[in-house]
Amino acid sequence: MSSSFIPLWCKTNYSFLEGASHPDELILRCAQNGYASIAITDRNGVYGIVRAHVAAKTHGVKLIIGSEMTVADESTVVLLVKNREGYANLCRLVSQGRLRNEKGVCSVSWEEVCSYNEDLIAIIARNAGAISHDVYKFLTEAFPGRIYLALPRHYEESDIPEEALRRYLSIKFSIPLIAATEVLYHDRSRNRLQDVLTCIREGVLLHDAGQLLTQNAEHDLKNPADIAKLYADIPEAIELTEQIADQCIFTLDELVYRYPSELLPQGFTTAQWLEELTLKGAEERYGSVISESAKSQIVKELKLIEQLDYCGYFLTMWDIVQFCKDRSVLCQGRGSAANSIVCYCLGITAVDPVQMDLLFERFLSRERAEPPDIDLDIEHRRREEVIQHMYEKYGRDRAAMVANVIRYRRKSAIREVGKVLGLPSTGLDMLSKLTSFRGGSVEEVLKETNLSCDADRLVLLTELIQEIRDFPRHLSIHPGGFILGSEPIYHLVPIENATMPERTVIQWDKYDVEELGLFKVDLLGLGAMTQLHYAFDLLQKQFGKNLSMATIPKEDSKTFDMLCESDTVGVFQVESRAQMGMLPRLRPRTYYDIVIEVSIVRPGPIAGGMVHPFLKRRHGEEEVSYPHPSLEPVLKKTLGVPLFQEQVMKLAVTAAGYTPGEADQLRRDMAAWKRQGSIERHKEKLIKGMLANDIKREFAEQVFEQIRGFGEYGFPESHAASFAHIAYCTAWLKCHYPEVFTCALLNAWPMGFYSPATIVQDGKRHGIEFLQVDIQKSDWYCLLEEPSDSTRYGHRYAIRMGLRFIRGLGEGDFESIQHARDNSFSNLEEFIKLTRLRSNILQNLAQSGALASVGLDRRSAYWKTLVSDEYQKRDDPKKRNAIVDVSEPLLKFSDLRDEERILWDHAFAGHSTNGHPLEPYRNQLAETGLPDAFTLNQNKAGSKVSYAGFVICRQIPETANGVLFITLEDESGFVNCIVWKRTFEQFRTVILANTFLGVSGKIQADKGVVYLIVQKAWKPKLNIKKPPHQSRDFR
Amino acid sequence: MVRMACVNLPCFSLQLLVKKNPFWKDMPVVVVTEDKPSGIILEMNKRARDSGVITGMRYSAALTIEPRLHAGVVMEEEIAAGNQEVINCLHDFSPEIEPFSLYPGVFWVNAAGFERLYTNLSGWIDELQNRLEDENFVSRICIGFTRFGSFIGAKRAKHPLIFYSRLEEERYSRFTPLTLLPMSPKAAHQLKDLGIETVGAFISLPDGGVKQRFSKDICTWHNFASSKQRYPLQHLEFREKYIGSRNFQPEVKNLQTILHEFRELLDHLITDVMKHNELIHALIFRIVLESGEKIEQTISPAKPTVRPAVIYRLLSLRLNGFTVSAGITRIELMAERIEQHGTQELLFHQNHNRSQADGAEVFAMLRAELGNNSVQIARIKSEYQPENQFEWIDVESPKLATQNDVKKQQQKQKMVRRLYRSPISGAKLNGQVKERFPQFSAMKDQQLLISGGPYKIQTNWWERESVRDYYYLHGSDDTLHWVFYDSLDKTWKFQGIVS
Repeated sequence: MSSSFIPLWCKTNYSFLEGASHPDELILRCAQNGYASIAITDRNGVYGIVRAHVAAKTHGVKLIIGSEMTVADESTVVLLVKNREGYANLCRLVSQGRLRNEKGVCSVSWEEVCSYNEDLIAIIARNAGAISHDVYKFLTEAFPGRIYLALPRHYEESDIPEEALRRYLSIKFSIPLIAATEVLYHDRSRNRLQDVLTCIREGVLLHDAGQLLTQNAEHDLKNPADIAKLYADIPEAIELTEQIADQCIFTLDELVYRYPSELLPQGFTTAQWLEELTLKGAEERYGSVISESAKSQIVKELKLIEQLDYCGYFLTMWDIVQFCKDRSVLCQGRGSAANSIVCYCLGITAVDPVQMDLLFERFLSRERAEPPDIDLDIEHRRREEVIQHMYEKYGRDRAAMVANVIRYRRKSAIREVGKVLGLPSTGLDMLSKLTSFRGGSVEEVLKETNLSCDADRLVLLTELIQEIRDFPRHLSIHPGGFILGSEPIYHLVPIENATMPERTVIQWDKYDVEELGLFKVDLLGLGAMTQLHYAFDLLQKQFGKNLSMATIPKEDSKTFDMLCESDTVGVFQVESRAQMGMLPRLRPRTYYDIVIEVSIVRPGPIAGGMVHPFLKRRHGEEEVSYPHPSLEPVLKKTLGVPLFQEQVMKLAVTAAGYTPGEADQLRRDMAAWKRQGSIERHKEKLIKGMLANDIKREFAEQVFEQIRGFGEYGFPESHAASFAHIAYCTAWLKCHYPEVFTCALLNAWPMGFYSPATIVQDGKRHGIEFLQVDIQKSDWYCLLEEPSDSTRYGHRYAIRMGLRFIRGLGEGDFESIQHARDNSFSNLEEFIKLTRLRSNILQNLAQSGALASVGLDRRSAYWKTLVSDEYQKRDDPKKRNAIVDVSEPLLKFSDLRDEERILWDHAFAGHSTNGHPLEPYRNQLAETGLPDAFTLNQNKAGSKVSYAGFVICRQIPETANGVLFITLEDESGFVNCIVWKRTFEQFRTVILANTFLGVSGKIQADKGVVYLIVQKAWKPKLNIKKPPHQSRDFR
Repeated sequence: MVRMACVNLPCFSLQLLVKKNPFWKDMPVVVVTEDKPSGIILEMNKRARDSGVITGMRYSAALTIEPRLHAGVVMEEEIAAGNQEVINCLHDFSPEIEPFSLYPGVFWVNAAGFERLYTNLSGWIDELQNRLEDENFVSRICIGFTRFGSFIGAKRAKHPLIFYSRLEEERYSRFTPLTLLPMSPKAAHQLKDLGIETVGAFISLPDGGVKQRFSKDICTWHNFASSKQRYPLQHLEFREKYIGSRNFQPEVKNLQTILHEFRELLDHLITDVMKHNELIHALIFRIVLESGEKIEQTISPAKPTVRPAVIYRLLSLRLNGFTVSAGITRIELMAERIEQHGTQELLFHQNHNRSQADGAEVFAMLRAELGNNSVQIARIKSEYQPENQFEWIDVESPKLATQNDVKKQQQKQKMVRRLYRSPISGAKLNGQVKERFPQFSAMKDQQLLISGGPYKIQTNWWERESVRDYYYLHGSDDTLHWVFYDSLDKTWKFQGIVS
């Protein structure tokens, strides 16, 4: 049924805790009701319009863009966009209202509304009575023939006086009345959720919310018949809505985004300048003789880039990389940019795509008509410098970060919905943890919790949790996504403040940006880049070697030997338990093997069942075959087994008859599968296509499973190639300069997989001497020093641990220590006087052993530092000695035992240079028949063993069907354990409760990979406390 | 000879929590600081401990270890009530009881001489433990010579312990691990880090050094452990409550006689109250009928008093409106008392805001005559359903209206609505069209016209959903009837009349 009525005042759940329907739900209902158009008018923003735009296109509904703006007098006005200019005005107004306030708050004045009036239609929405008559006059002048008064009818008693007032205002100021209910949800059944959202927003329980809630469920998107009945007395108000809708002709497709043009040298166009830089870079990369294939690829890429008008984008990326180089910030492009030789020549990426035979179309293609995506990995400590450079260079008007919409997930839904229902927090926490751990439904787990309330309430809880999932909760900031514009960004999308100072963020997330085909620059922080930078600096300083990522010797066999032995603690991307388990099986001997190594231990290939076939073929245990001769060029590099996204794309084209454009859509659907479930629509097409090309159904289905797996997480080959480059560099450093590698890793920490304690232990196993933190000798970062005993350690430098590892000690405190050193001190009292450090810091220094150089044992130093806070509170210098009584007789405390000393090291410095916490107990453990990790790992397959060690990692990968992997550690190394689901259920409490854990079971050993298959877990009798580091527990 | 028994109820808060939730008895249970995931675990039972949960852990962290972990908060008032319950039990065994102010659930009891009553002190301990067990309390008891010595014994020994010499008690204390002293986790850690692991080592630390480095409570424990608190038990005063009573044989039916008897009892009661320098806060009287039925009522004066005339007048007012269905066989009279401030202070309060005091007295008389809930005002609530938009609350004394209040009231005047206490239901429609308005008796078969509506109220879905369509019906006698159709009950209901 068609209707002349158009809903012009509709809020989605992107009004954040106000509307209770997703944009697509509203659009679908709009189509079902037969409305030709709908206006989405989220509160103070346009957060949901991209989703609405996509849905509107799908359902053939015209989308009108608008926003309900909150004005300072607490009234609201719905502003509808007529055309592109109107849209820019709306974005400007919203930005103005947002930028002057802290995050989440927006307010504008009527003067501002009027000053951005061009091509906007104004509908007075809430609180018409709060607006002064002067303002009405002002508005009618600013919006001539474009201002209306909404006549909201929600079957509330207050509608009557409100309507009387609006009719009076309508007559007095000649403002037409229009039919408009405030739509908050597409269906009245969502009224409950609307109430819950209101309570969350207001921080009240449902029981106490009273009139904060809506009075009834009449804020739904009504059908034409109901609207006709509701406004039967004033049909002209309905007709006006259609007239208004007809005036609004803007669509988001009109957004033509121009990337900022760079400042160009005299006489160059952007294309010429890009070509100039590319060719210059090519010379640097390849030398004076450039291969024909490289040349033709450069020409091909430059031509396409110019045709698509993307030159500015590449120049900007080049500029960022130049900035990083000038400032000595290490950076490297990742992702599909590595497929481009232009990126390689411009220094954006480090992998030669010609040599690697990478697919350029994965990065850029004419058919795709979407901008390329270049992600840049930057040293994580210096990323902010680069971000601020972007703001400085382009201005806050033309540069803003992409938002990240935080949505309700199961845990947050349980907590917040349960809270407004008045359920006890502890019970809700129990419920959320149980559901998260088991992965079962809320109903199943509810029985086991201590949620004491009636059954109806629990039914409500489960229903509401289901409804609220995926609802936007609030806006956060994307870790590194930027958009840059040639004109101010606020012409394109409103900008607002982020929580972090000096950051502005747009109202769309990365999916919205991608959907509209806008350029995005991702500046991502990567710890490994910081580590490499530190390492290169140390090499230069201590060894006089000038190395960089580009000049590290390639294809070094010693490095590959080390990788084959899984000696990879701290090596980028291949240091996890799973990677360590794969290395001896894959036995990498070339750079490309590392590319495969980093890609293969991913949910994609694992879920797709590709790992074992590949390994078998690699070791000649299975013949390399191709399902069809036409696929040989596609799969040859990976022995007939598809491992990369690019291969899946090529495969779809070659085997299933996809066009390159369709193949790219497949890739996008692969990435968005978890979010939208859109991969299923390819199943039939892919399988049919492959069958038609004489490919067996079995292989076809297998390929589809792998595609689905990639939706979970799979690498494109180019991305893996970039990561493999960093992995190789870090591995080379570990192999040839272990002390440099470890020192840099400790200085870049927190990063990677392991704690400083484990890194130090690993360093010791590699023959590195570690020297205790000391207030006289340590710097903030770790330093390389001459070893204390060169007969034992040879010429290898020792690592002096940095003061940054002392618990609670900040850089400001370190400056105080430096000041004390400059003024020299000889005892603790002088040190305290000079540094004026807080008592807890002094105590931590005392207990970590860092005060040893002032001649006090740890306990005596600790006793003395226990009073120093009182000391600093005293302003009267005469009284100082009364507090820190130098003459106080030195008490004799008992000596620290070895195990205590190590434990204190860990507790107050996060590591120990004195030993592993299990070392002092080794004899006792051996007496009870428990071997160390090294001995255990020498056992043959099938041996029955028992072992006890510290838990450093527990993991239940989603692809492992509930199997738990535990890594245990002692002074001699790691023991990797596998706990089958049933065993885990049996010993769950013991395994989760004990950080010093005993396990018994059978050894499984294959190609140097040793696992202990746990049959029993137990609490060791020896009561050893694990130092206070958290085990890494994750799914 | 001093024989000091220390009664320790270990994990007292936890015992109270499990007592409150008996179904948790076989579950892992912890006491937390607040009902939030971030609540810190204070005490736990064995099942929780065995699963690896430790004190000081956050509840959310503990849940990852033991997902079935049950938790609750024990409020200070609950601990105070629990303390009182234990004291009541202990009073059956000794008149002198001193609760430990630093540590709830620990009590010292003067045990001197009780070995004669119970054969020996072990017998006394057994009886006492049995008595506490009957009340679902687990206890540990030690009899010694000092507070600290007996406390340590009751903390450390799993079975009842009796010291027979001071030397034995001192030796036992010295070698006791310091972890047994209930110190803050921070102080306990600090001392352990200093290598101070026994009570003996703790005592050996210099007083001044401890004072400079540790909090007040650690200094108190240091003093306490050094046995510097050797003063006698500071026991609670044990006093029976005065209850005046009269039995009637044969039973009495004349209330005047009863009033006369109450008057005499009241005189005794007031004498007792004044003797203890107290005031009557509430008067409680109990009447036992020959049928066995007991009637108990409370009368509260406008302010605590011992003035016989005031109390007697209130009592007469209450009894004058009284009817009993059978003869009276017994009456009892008692009082809730509060301590009297100095007389000078009382004078200070006298004649202050005379009219308000008079008003309060009138309110008290109204309550005495018409019942305790007879003086109420309406408090406005933010709800949609008309009958829930206010609630009646008792009011002790009148509040004087200010000029502003009056003005506001005048400005606010809207339609005056007279509501039924709860809406009156009409007949069920059973599928009939709801547009047919029902006739309620109050409408007197008038011709009705809709003058407003429908207005919809749909709320309370989280408890018992209510969906109402409201209408104003204009009657031929000009009355505006306020009715609604209850969509869930499918009935018309009469809310009230609007003028």
